[in-house]
This record gives sequence, structure tokens and C-alpha cells, in this order.
Amino acid sequence: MTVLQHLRDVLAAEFEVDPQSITPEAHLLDDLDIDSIDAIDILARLREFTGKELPAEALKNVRTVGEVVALVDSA
Amino acid sequence: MTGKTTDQRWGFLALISSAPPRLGRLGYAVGYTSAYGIFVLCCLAIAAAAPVAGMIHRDRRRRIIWLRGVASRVARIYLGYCRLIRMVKVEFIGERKLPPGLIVANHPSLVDALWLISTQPNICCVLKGDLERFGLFRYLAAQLDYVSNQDPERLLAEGCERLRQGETLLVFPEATRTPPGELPTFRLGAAELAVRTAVPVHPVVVHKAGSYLSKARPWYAFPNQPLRWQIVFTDTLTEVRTDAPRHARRQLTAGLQKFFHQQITSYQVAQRPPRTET
Repeated sequence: MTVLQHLRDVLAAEFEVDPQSITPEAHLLDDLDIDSIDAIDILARLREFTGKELPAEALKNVRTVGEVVALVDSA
Repeated sequence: MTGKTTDQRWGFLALISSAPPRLGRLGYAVGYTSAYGIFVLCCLAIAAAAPVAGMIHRDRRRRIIWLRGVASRVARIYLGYCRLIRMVKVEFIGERKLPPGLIVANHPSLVDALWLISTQPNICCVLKGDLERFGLFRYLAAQLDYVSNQDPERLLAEGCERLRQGETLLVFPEATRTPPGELPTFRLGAAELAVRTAVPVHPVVVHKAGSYLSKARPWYAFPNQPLRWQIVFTDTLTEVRTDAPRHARRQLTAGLQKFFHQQITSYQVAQRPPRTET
């Protein structure tokens, strides 16, 4: 399962986001209603999923779904 | 008649305080420079007290509380010094004795936290991560058990822990100083702390006249008059919603921001026309 797929599952299940709207270009706050605190929760999930150390500090510059995926891939 | 009355004996003090000679540009430059110097001395004094705390109290928590008490007193002395040399006028309005909880304040100037520390004997501050570049601040923050805002996840975890221990936590939800004339944008973290812990929220509105000590002006561009603050302790919010946390934190953030905007705007309107110098 890819990071994007896992992110889709988490967003759809926990944050009631329509899976159709979760594209790499989707803006977390404006399009998906995911705020900065939600992003910290989601990052914790991705940490469990990937086993990578993902510091929440890095979230400061993240705005879109694609950027979250890139952040995880580059870690 | 034996002995002088107190008024006669201390009358000369009234001369100093009631009829201040006008300080010139140089007077203020010297005054503000000395205020910076004394500030560093105050920081060093607290740093020097840290090992003493270790000698008095073996228990870590009691040591921190003792040292925070020292920091509060030092801040009060510093405020007294700045008032004495007539570089600042700070007016506190409202009940300053606050039960443990979350102090939410706006952040117009560099020393807002200092004036607030002077009012609370045991306060934990959320410190801007950038300040930890300075060794002295990093040491003091560690000794006083302050929380860094560098990592948002740790900030939430440690902030909640402090609040659950019954401490008073000071947060500036705008995270960094907002330039004069602009209204602050509050971030969600402060409200999230309140929602997670259900502690009382104490909004404190900081009004600061002029632009000195803001981001808009360098430190050496001394104004030619005392700096004026009005710090208003407003009514505590005791019923913070804790159900539906996502909704609750957004609602609380929006509510607090609106309240602060109203307070700041009405203060600016009520103020006398600004002087040209500051």
C-alpha cells in the first residue's frame, strides 16, 4: 500500500473526507478541511504506517496532500 | 514637636516623581541602553539562582517552582527599575491573581512575557524556538521548565502535561509578534490545549503604544518618551467545550480572536491621537 493510499484511508475513515477529493493537488485546509492540529494526528498515523521518524516540525511548510506524501517519501 | 512627619522626611522623593525634568534624546538613549544592560543582568541573576534552587530543594518540581518564584520577583524588580528611570509606564487592569489555567495573550512587543511573568509567582511560558539559539535563554528555559514551540507535537504534549499538573501556562496564540497596526491571527494550538485539558482560559489583552520593541523598528531607534503598556486581565472563560475537539478548538480560536480584535480596535479608537515621536 502506498503512502497516498494509506493517507486516503485515514482521511476518509477518521476525518470524514470524501475519498474522491483526496488528490495530490488537494489543499489540506481549503479543500479537505484538515487543520494544523489534524495534520499532527495524521503525521502520527503515517509514522506508525511507515516506521519512519517524521518530525512534526516539518509540517510547517506543508499545504497539500502531495506535499505530505513527498515529506514522508523523503524522510 | 519631635521628629519630622513622613511627608517631610520623604518629601524630596515627591520632587523626583512629581516634577520630572524633561529627558532629552540622549537621556532616553542612555535610559533604554541601561534597561537592556539591566535586563541581561536580571537573566544572569536567575541563571545564578538555578544551582541555588538545586541546593534548597531536592525535589525537581519544587525546585522549578522556587526558581519561577525568583524569576517573577526579578521581573518585578526589573519593571520597577524601568519605571524608576521613567523609561516605561505599565498599567495593569483587572484581577491579576489568577487560578491555574491557560493565559492567552496577544503579543505586540518584545517584553510582554516579562510583564506577565512579573504578575504570576509560578508561570510556565511557551517559548519561541528561535530564542533557544541563545545559550542563556536555552539554559533559563530548561531550568524554568518552559515549553518550546519548535515542534508543534511536543508543544501540545508538554503544554497539556503542565496544565494537568495544575500549572499556569502562558501562550501567545499569534506565535510571534504582530506588527503595530495589524490585528493578530491566532493559531489553533492554544485553543487545542484548552480543549484537551478543560482548564480555565484567562484572556489578557496587551495594549502597547507606539512601535518601539515591535518588529517594525530596530532596537537602537530609541523613542523620546516612556514606553506605555496597558495590560488588561479580562474575564476568565470557564466553560470550554471539550466534546467534538475539532469543532471546539476552531470555535474557541475564532471566538478568542474576535474578542481580541474587538478589544484592540476599541482601544485604538479610544486612545488620544498618537504622538508624532513614537
